[in-house]
Amino acid sequence: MTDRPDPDVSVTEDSDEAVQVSVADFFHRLYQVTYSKTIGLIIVLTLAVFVFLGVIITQAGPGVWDNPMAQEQFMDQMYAKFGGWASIMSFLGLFHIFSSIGFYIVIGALTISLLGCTTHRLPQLWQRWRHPKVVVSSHFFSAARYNGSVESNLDDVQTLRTAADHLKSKRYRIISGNETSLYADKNAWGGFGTPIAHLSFILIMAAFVITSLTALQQVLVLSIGGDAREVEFATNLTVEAVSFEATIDPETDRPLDYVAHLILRDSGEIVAERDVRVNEPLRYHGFSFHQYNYGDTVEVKVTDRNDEVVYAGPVELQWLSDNGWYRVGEFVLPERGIEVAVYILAAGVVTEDLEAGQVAFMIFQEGADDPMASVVVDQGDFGTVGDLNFGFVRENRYTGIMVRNDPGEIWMLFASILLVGGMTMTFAFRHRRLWVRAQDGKLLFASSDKEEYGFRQEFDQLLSQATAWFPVRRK
Amino acid sequence: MSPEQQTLLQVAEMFLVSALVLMVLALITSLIVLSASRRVSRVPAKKLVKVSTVPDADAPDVDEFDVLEDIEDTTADEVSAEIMAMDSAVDAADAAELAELDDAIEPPAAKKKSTGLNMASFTTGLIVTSLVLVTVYLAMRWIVAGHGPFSNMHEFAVSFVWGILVAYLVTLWKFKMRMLSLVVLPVTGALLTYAIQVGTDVNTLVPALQDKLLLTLHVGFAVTSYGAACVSFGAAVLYLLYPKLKLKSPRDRFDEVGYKAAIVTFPLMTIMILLGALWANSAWGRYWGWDPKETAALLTWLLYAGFLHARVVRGWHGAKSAWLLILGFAAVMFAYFGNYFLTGLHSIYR
Repeated sequence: MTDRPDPDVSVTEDSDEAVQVSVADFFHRLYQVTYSKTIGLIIVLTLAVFVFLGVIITQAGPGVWDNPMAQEQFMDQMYAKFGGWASIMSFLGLFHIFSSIGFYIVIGALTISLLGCTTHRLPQLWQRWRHPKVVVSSHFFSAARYNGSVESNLDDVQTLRTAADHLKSKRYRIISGNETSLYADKNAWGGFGTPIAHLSFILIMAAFVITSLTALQQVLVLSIGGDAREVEFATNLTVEAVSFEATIDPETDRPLDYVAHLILRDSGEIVAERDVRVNEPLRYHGFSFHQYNYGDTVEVKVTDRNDEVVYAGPVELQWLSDNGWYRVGEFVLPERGIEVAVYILAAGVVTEDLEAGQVAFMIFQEGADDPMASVVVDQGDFGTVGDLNFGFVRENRYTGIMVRNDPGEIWMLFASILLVGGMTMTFAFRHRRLWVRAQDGKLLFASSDKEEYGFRQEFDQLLSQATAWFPVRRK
Repeated sequence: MSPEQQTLLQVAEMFLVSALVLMVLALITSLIVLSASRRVSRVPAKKLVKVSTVPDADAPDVDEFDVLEDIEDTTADEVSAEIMAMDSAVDAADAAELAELDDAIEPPAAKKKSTGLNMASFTTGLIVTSLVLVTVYLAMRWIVAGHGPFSNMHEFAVSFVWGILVAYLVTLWKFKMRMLSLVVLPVTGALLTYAIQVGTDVNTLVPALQDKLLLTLHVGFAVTSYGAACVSFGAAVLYLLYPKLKLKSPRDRFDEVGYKAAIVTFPLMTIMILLGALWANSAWGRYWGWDPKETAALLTWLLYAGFLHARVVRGWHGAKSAWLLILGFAAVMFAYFGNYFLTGLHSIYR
């Protein structure tokens, strides 16, 4: 529960002191909001609502919202599904809810709430751990949620000493209050589990931010047995696919294995050579190389009028034309401001425009819908458009290798371990407190912990065992 | 698959069907015990005169099926007084007369106690046997498939049932609340029926699932956390139906069992999600991708986080708390069956 601000503090505009108080009061109130548990709960449930919407409403994939064509195509499907509501849903960010402003606000609020709660709670936990209230009033022993007594035939000091010895043997920490009273507890550090879990959650969110801001990722399309390709963001690294095999179960048609044999070079030196599978990436100096996809490719070569190579490499045939006649790939020559679509006949199709063993290059100005030129080329030949020669080297297969470098990964791992540790402390090592007093031939026990079946059993069992500490029956 | 393996699977499937039959029987016997318990609880306490065991104040927690303990504390005192009076009279009688007297005055309720207890033990026996059969079935599939039985909806449904039964029996051992079976058994029965109906083919693992350690750990934690979630759901339902069912355990016990099961569910679910993220990072190079299935798991996790916060810091008990647990388990089922309807909804371009 939050503390209420002092209602006596009044604010008058003509009083400097009052203004100072009001500023302090303002920040105090603001701080109270950050650690308000009610607000924390509302934030968690609001986040759950966002996540629920993200689950039930179709979400645009990565990059769709940044690509006008893809966005338009996506929205067409949403209009077909939701009709006029699609515009409103789009305006509200419901189709990319996890990158929407509202979602970021809730995540930000949750972070602040967790920080506020943690900073507010830590001093209390420290106090409870290091300096607990040791001596309580007599009334406490009759009014506490858990209370009971046993009779003793020893004097009060001896009775308490005996109780302390027994509680110690039960792994209670004993803090003496005076000659006839003591405080005993277990797992006093367990309470720190909650702030640790809260902090770990903040770290997880920080890891997400680090990943989204700093992670580098590229899918390398590697021709099988073709040339090594450079990693864009680590140009000293090149990767070569020596072989690739996709094993399919002939009975069920289910894939059994995808394995690419890769050679990784750092500054020309071979630093790794091994098979890479879906669950067995190649890791090297913070970079990981994952088996991502595979398929067919055409290898092309583009030269200028001086025979300087402008582009050379495999082009992934990742689409099928609308009429199903052609398989289509694309590459970009950014320094020329052009995009090149590559067409090849789909298996079993015969057309007049293109023959088997030929490739059609269609050249577009970047962003334009209509091609500015096209040329059909036989395998092993070049065709000229403007000052560029477009060559069709051969058809081949490719393996897509995703290269990643993610500085957020280590933070995510660290935060995950902290989260599990914090939860274990919270749920498996509950702080148990006992106040014990020897008085008038009796040993009194009390605890103000929350009502709980397990602790009730433990408390009752302790009382029952305490009767055996002294050769007198418990009342 | 070799003929021996096929035979082994056929035998295993018989075990599974037997487990389902036993669960249905256990549910029927649970209902009979509930019905008997309610009938006896309507008998005026003063008619239950010759009681061989009067509830002791220090006795362990009452058993749901111990029909005689329906007597309230005050009536128990009356019963004690009557017994003391009878004991005085009995002192003067010889042993033979006493035996005749016992037979003559033993009320039907006392006999019902014995029936109730036997039936309750019988119900537990049926459930334990079901668990053994399900365990054997899963072990046999594991041997035949060469990997943990978690590779398709059938195997996960059976594993889910296993998790629920284990969670139920642990709760029964710890809290002596047999009535949870009234909610838990319909869930396990429905899941087993679904598992049998969906097909029992053994599949090879697709490349993404070919990490046997992480597959076992990730799904293992899912199964146990979802099992505990089902128990908390059962406790929540019984808490809400308590006035109608007139159960014997204090109503707060259902509230507490729901909470206890949730604090087991939550950390296990956390570990399950974290292991999933670790696995995704290894398989696909990213630990989180807002995939529908993982997003649905996050939703479930947030609901349980909300429940625990509401309970611990806002003191939500009773009906509000129970409804949150029901919502949490609905999210569990939503995440589980999400394979059927979430994939098509999400990420056309993914």
